[in-house]
Amino acid sequence: MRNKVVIINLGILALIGIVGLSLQQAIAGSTPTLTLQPAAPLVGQIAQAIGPVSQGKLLVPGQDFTLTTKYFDNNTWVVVNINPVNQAFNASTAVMEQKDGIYQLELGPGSAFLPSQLTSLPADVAAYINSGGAANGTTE
Amino acid sequence: MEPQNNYYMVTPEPSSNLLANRPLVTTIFIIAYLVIIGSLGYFVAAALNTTAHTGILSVNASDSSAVITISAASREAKVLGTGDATVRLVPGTYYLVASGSGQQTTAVAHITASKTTNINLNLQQSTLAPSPETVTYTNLDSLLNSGITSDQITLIKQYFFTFKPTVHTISIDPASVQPGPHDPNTSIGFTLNFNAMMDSTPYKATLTYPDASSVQLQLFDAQGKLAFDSAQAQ
Repeated sequence: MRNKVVIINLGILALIGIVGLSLQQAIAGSTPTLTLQPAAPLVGQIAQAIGPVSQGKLLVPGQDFTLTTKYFDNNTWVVVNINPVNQAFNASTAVMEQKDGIYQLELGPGSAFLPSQLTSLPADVAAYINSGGAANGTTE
Repeated sequence: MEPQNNYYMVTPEPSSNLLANRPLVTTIFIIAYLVIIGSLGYFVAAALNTTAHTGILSVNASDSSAVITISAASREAKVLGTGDATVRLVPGTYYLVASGSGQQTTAVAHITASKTTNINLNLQQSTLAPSPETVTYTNLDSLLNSGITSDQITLIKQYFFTFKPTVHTISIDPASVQPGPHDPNTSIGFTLNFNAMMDSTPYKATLTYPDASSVQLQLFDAQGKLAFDSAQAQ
């Protein structure tokens, strides 16, 4: 009789555990939570623009590349010079525009652009690229 | 006559029964109940908190092999997955990129707590402006292995792009890479011949280079007609 009480209690504890875990699963689901760590401005978008390299991994800012930036038109546009740290890729230039609350890639990354590609950019941005890119910008 | 008190010492019988020492077992069960219920309460509260303070992002790319990445303003970028992905995120604005087959498309996702945001990334509507770097090259290493320098490779990429800016993929047949005839007494440079496939169009290519920093690219179509000469395009 006493052992039955022990078994019943163990069963109740197991049941509570199963019900509780099921409840938690039902509330939160199996969707993982993703957290993005703070980083310097634009490095995340530029790493995305370059795309995954070896073994599907993105380049690491500071370790694989640094950025030189020049902002235009009240920070609406920015020309970004991408400088490789270990020669994993060629130096290149990208143009980004702040839209919908975030800087988005508009051109590049590339080392050469056709004149027709620059026509969609503001005149001062296009002139800056034609004059030699972001070599005199701010390094981040 | 005074009553006589008889005292007896009672010694419990040894027993294998688990409840023989009832107060101890009861205490253990009470603690176990408290721990289990407390832990579950914590986990359920954490789940409720997560649900209340995060939203779900569900991304689907038109190409099942496309790599989907995510970042936000002044935040690192991470790979979400390939083809599709579903994650919980704190509310905010996120930048999504799907890359694959020489194409890239982007989207912005505004995540709201307790809501699911669905984003479709169509690589057919590539938002990436074409440039020599947006082209996917295959077997360029076979040129490097045949003596072409990385500086010359950069030029070759640019020449291919100049010839056809809309190209997505350029594939070189490694077995076709052959050095051309070279007579040091009469020739002014080296030559390298190979077959290249620009998207689905085949070309026979000839590289001519007098040194390690310059190169001339000539492309001949299937009929053997000169389709491109970088010396004339410059």
